[in-house]
Amino acid sequence: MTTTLAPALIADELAWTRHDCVKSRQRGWWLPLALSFAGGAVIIAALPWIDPTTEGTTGLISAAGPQYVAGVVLLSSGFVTALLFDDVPRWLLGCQVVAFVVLVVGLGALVEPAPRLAITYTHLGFAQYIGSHGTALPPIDARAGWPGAFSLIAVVESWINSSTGFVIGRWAPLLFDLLAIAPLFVLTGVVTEDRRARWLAIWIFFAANWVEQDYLSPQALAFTMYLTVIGTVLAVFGSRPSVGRKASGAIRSIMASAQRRLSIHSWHPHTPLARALPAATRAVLLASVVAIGAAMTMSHQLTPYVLILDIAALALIGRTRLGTLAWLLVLMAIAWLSFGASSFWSGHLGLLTGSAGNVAGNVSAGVSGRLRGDPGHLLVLWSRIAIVVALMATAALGLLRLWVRHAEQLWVAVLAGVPIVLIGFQSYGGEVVIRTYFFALPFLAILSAAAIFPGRGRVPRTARHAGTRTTQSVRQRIGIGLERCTRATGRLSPSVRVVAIAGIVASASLLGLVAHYGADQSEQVGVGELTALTWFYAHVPPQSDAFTACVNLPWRSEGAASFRYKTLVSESYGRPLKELRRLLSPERGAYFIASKSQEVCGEQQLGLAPGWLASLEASLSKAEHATLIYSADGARIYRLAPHEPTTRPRSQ
Amino acid sequence: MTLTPLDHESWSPPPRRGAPPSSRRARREASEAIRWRQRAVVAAILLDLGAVAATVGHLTGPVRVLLGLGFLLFVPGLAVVGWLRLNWPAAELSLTVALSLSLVLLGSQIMLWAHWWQPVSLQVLFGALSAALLLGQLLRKQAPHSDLELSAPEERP
Repeated sequence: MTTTLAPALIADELAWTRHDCVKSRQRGWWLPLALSFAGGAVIIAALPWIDPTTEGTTGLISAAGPQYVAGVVLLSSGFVTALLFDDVPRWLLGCQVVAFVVLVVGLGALVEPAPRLAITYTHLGFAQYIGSHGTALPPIDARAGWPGAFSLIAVVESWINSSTGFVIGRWAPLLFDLLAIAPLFVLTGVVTEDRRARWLAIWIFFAANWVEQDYLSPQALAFTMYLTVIGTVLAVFGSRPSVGRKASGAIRSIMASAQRRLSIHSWHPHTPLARALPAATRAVLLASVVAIGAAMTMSHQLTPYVLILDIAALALIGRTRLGTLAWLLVLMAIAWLSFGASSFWSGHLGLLTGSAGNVAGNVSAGVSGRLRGDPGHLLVLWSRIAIVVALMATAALGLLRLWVRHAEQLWVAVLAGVPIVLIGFQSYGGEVVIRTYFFALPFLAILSAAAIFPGRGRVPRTARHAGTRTTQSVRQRIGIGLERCTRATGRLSPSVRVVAIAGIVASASLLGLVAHYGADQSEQVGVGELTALTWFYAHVPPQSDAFTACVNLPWRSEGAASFRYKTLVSESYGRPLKELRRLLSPERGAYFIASKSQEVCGEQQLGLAPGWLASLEASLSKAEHATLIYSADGARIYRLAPHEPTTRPRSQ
Repeated sequence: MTLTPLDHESWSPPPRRGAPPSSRRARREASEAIRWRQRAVVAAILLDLGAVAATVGHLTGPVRVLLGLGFLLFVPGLAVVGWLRLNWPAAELSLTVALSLSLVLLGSQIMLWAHWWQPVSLQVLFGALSAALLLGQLLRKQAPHSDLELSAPEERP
């Protein structure tokens, strides 16, 4: 029964296509081009008027204004309209995606004069240490054990003659986003030949990527490498399924079962690299992949392990014959942990293994633990959750449509699911859920594109490949239901379809913008703060203790290892004075730095009452003999006099 | 130009049963790829020389920033990947960038381990090696094309 369903679906679809082609009006691709040009022009015209200092609690979009929003809607409409034409020029969809990445995803880099995110300055400080000392970082931080990216930044700073690296920090997010396009295009090209599906998947990836891991960071660098390695492994070393001839009986049985359940039969990626390459070329490609893997291992704590899991999963289901690469990466990771990063974990083994198995704790730290703050910030957080839920629902629909059609690409779901394993092993500072989503995002985007472009599917070759009778029945019922829905939408007029889909995509783009730049009020770095910190590093003697209230102070860009830095509020929630007394050295005293963005951070992200920072500063002045030694442009620096520690700490 | 249903195009290719190879199209695509690669190699050589000269000559300003970043992203990687003649621009570009970043990163790590921090010397070394490899690609005999370059998309398994 089912064996006849798939060809029937294909025949129906082809008939519908011909019918629609005949009925549809002839149109040129000038429409998507014109819409995109108009959108781009409107956005570019709006950019000079966007003032990030005027934004509200919903972030950068509140300062962007209606003109910018209209431009985003036009740009999105142009992309959607181009998707509806089957013979748009090759360059058009690519240019539209690049324009979206530059003008919408890269908005922060375009309108903010200083590098975004305080953590960028910490990374610049690590690079500055390496560049000025010529040695690896001392174990001041977990990241010091993986200094690859910081040494790379130090080299680049020397090459471009940048003493602070601020120019790299400002443009890095836009650069990393642009660099991700080519590997994503390769990855989607391995999965489907349909270029509309490929570009749609890339668009979805960027629209749904609110995680903001594209700033100047080891993870951004490692993610670009990760995408390249996965794409190359699938494109060059993808293979016919193997049931593990060398494997033992149980493993062989598991592999065969996984391959059968995922409908994996003979498969080759439909790419120019699929044809047998010369042995020397393959050897060089393999060496390149290993070199990239080695660089990744030295740069980031998490990404190499996701890559190992992905390649192992692909080998298990017969989608690559490079299973040994996973073992090689494991060896490199262990070697680096043993020799390169031993100074970190030898004293902090609990950080590596403490949260293993605590799935509920790791999830709550990443989701419910973060749902706090003022109403504007909560709106941003809920928009992020809405994006995740919508993307997963669309990906599930895409998977269903592929399954109904016996499509070959069901294995993409395995790559989308593999990062979930991370949740069982590490809390990663409460970020593991976010990182899991980030690593699953490219594959969720591909499956979501399949919900709209599922393709013709495939006729199962044998009864075994068609599945059991129950499976056939379920597949048939779902297939008929989905086809009815598709035909219902197919009966709409083309203009209604264009408007409806453009509305959905434009809403998704705007929602993505809110989710991405929603916390910008505390994430942007003001010129006043940078000036205050320049003064701090010029006047405060090294080896001093430096305290700040909230986590978003852009310090450590100099003297990364020369000062004792401590954030008060994030760790002793609501009891900063108690924390300060615990940390304050009675002999040396300390310096306390406060700024407007920290006040915003406390209100928005930690849910503190308005005026909390002023209250803290008043308490400091009263109780700790603080002296204001710098005050300008909303930033203040206090000198805390040395004192004898009290035995009974007072709370605020 | 026709407006088609959204799921008209194939997610997987239609079955090919004895489709004849389109060698003319393949030859044209291969020639086009070779031309583009040669242009990219020439651009990379110029970028290589310009970036090294800017660093050694202590040039300042945005030109040096652009040359330095261009060198970092493209030159060492293309010096290796260009030899492979993959005929898939997206794959060549992504591998070029990832390999460039990786090679420079590995070089910087070796300098740290060796306690010999000389970033300018590293650039000169990479620049010289890359220039030699890129020049080799430029002087490489391009014809006759390999089987890979002449393979039509229809022929691919």
